[in-house]
Amino acid sequence: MRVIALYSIKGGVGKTAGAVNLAWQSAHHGYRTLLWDLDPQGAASWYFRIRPALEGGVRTVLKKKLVDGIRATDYPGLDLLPADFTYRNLDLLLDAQKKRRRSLVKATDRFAGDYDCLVLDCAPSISLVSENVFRSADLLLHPLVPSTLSVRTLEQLVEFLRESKLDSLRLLNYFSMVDRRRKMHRDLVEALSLHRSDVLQSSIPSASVVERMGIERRPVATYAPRSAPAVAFRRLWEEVDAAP
Amino acid sequence: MTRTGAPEFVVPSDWSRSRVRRHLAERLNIRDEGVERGLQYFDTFDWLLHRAGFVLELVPGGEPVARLVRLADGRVEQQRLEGSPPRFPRDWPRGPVKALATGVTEERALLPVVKLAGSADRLAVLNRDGKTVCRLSVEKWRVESATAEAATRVSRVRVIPLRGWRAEAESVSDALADAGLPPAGTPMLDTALTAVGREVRDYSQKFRLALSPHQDAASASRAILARLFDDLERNEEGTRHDIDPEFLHDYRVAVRRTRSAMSAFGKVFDADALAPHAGAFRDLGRLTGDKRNLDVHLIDFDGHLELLDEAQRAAMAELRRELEAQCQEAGNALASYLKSAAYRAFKRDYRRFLDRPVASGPAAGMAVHRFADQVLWKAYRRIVKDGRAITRKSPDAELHELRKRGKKFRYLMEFFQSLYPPKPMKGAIAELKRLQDRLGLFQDQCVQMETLESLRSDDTGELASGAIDRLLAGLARQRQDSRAHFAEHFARFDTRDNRRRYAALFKPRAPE
Repeated sequence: MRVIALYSIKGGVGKTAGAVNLAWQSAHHGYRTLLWDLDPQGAASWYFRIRPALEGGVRTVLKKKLVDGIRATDYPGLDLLPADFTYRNLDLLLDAQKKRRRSLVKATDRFAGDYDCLVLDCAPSISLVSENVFRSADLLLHPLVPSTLSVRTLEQLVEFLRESKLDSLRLLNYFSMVDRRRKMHRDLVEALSLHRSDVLQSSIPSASVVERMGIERRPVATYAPRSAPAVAFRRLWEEVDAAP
Repeated sequence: MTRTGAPEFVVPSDWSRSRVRRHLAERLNIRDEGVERGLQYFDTFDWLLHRAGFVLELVPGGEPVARLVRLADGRVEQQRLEGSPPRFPRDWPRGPVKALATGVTEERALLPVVKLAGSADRLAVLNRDGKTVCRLSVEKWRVESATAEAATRVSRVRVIPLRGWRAEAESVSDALADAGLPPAGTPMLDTALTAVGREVRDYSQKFRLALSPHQDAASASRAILARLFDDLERNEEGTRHDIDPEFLHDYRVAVRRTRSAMSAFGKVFDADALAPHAGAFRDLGRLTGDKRNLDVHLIDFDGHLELLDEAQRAAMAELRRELEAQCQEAGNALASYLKSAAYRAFKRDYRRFLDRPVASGPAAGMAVHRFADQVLWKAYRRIVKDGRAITRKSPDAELHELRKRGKKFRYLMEFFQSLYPPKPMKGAIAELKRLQDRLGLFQDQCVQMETLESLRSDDTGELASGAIDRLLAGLARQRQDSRAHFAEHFARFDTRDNRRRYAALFKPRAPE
């Protein structure tokens, strides 16, 4: 089972849209896929019309019965483990564990028999939860909006991964909410792609069809399969899939 | 009969589709998900998927949909295919079938089991949030049978639960019952099979035959031979078309079992009447041997490759192609033999013998349970005697001979299994199997070494030759290891407990 974490220190960068659409792509490409909504806001759950609630709340996360919380989405091969508002206390729960930085690894291992791909939608911020996520994941997928602030958070993240001795975790960045009409966006995308080898070629455009996800409450490709963002998510998935 | 956890409901024959729809719409929030035409069930010849708790359905069409249904709860995993389904799950495109079935079916091919004509309306049941919480399939099928005059017509509503929405699926079932639909007693697959005169799991590699302890040895022996001949014939077509290597394997098992039976039943039948058939089965074992050896060699070959480096592997690829060609050739030869007049004559003569066996041997009139005690006790004692005589210096051939005797003993236990208490019998077979597995390993290592060596010819390149040497060296070590541990393994079989176990079961008692 491959574990892909969608993560950003900053909020509002299209992280959840990325998790939802990439998880759908993964299932569509034949991988038995589970999306775990780790963000107490529960946006990913909401996009799939699944109420963000887990029986037993956050304490269930470290227990065997966590798998009982898994729910089928409307799409073949794609299941979701919904968020719960008590996930806001996940940090406290992890802090109380013996292996406080690795406790989530055991939780994610529970899914290995049933799934080929686990997508984690993580809450923004750097916390004990994110450290646990980094240790559980094979791949850290990091959405960047083309702004100078984003570049700074990328540097912070790289620094953090180095300090936490997480060098073996593969970090891949992609641009999200890109407006090609704006010169600053174009320049930033080009410059960063030139200087860094961990920036993926595909980027997700800023488009109303993506915003419509909130009304449709389903992945873009299911209601606008030929739209530019749907195509962009597919290409992004293909790059992620091909990455070692 | 098997039951899926997902209830199926019978649609009464006087209900129209629209009436079903109206009843559903009155009680549930439903949405159309399209219509599917036709359905075909797949499994391996020996029902490995069903035994592992799955039913594989295929909805035909330009882009067929394959569904793996879990018998335990009726949940479904689905994937699309391009074109017809590949024969082996390992060759399927990525998806649940490949992921879940490859380890289950191994060398067995997926074959169509039964085909339904008609259509299924697919419906989603939604909750208040517009989320699909369950699916329904409103099905109207027709099963054509070669024997029955009229096709069987079945109308069903199937509830397909989704992971994490069990309570919702249960209330959907309640709603269907409330609408006046009676639950179906048997799953659709079972019903369709009944219509074509079959049933699920109607073939197994295991030998099963219920004998009555008071029937005479002649009728029991005849029943065993007839059952074995039936197994042989059932595997004939798959062998001839080389659908998967297990058909020939099972065919050969039937041949070997028959030979073991004939040699043990010598005192039941007239020796002169039996001799030509025993000879024919010996020949059949020989005629099918080449192809089977090559099949096994090809299966092992890929295991060998994993032990080599890239360059050696590439060098061996050429040898693999040669091996494939040889296997193909042996398959063709076997297929034409199975189509030959000589083979037909053999079958005709043997069937005639089975219909009217000349049971004039001295044991013919014995009660079968006494006869079974006699042959099983003799076979057991022979193994103990031969096994104890093997020392570190004994030639390999003696171990092979012991393995063959063990196999015969196992076959005989299986033939007469129904005459003995099940639990002790199971234990007796398991104890023998442990020894046999060890002997089998040693035998495999010897055969693999021989076949690897036979791959080498004057044309074999240096790289391939080096690869063969490397594999041979590894196998030689393993073989030596197996050989060195024989005494230990045999001692584990020949314990006081086991001696008592076999004596309690088989040692003939003085007639009362």
